[in-house]
Amino acid sequence: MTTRPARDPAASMSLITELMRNPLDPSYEDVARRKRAQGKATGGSLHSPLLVVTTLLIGFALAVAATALRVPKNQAQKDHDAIISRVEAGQATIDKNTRTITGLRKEIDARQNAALTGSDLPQRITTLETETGAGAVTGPGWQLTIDDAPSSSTDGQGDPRTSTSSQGRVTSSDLQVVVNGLWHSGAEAIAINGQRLGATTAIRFAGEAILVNFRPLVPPYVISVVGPSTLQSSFSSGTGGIYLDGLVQGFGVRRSMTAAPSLRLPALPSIELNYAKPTKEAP
Amino acid sequence: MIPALGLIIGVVVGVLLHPDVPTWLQAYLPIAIIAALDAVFGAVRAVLDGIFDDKVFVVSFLSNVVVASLIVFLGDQLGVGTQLSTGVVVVLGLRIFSNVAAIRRHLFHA
Repeated sequence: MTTRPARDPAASMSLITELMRNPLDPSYEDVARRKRAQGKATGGSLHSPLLVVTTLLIGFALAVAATALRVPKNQAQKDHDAIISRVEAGQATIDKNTRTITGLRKEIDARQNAALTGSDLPQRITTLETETGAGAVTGPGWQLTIDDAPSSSTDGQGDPRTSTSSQGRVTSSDLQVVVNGLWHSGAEAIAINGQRLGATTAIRFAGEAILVNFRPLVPPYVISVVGPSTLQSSFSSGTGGIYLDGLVQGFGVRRSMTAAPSLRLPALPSIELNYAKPTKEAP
Repeated sequence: MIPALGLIIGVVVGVLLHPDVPTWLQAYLPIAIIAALDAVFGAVRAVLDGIFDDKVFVVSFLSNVVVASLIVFLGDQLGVGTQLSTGVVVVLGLRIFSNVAAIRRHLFHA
């Protein structure tokens, strides 16, 4: 009785074993065996033109593939730097133009005042500029600081999106209610973190950030208010103050108020003239 | 020596000419290069074994490249192009590794 040869225990792995054990093309062996059988020496010529052409081709293809398909390592960094420098250049232009505008506006004001001497118009213009936010305002008032609740702080990476608790975060609508309460209580001028609020200023949100005058604000939100001395008490008893109390007690939002004897609020960054009509006194 | 010289000249010419690779070829070129490298290392090993044959080398090179490209093309048509490319790279990479190991044994006896 013949015993069958023991089955290779790793038969299921034969593909990999075959690959690892016999990586050489078997035809080399075949040709060599045939040559030995015919009594010729094994080992072909290394100088055949076919071989040279093939190696040339392989080298060429190698170089082409390497140069054409490789993605330059620091290309992304270069692009990033180029975009950043363009942004910075754009911001520098904006700053320069803003300064020019401010200078021109001052000149206009001076000429306006010079042209209107002897009438009550300059006084009216100043009042209107204060009310609309077109001019900077200096005066007594107080500062209301609102900050996110401590529990809503961002995680170690500073990524607010991984924070589990967004309950205690101050939202744009919170600020809207508070600001409307302040207007209602007789505020003459309001600025949040140095951004003056005008009649058409929107307090919006973009993602996690609150935008005022299309500029993102970071907490704490410092609301500077110029207004009469009764402002603080009438705000606290009004809807805005009650709403803010609810935020403080319900969500742990932090709030502090300080009276300021002299506040200086900047003018709005831009005022658009949408509507005008000639006065009766116009020539 | 002459084949190595040919390889180097080919690389130099490729770097100097810097031709554009057509888009339809871009998926196949890397695979074809790996297949060609497999043929080259196989040839080097055959030379050291003393059984090298230039016809076998050219035929194995051409068939490697054609079959590898064909597999990738087929994979692309079936929607599994990247997986099949990975498979081809794994197989050819294994072969290259074992051939290089054999070459190392020949050269350094280690």
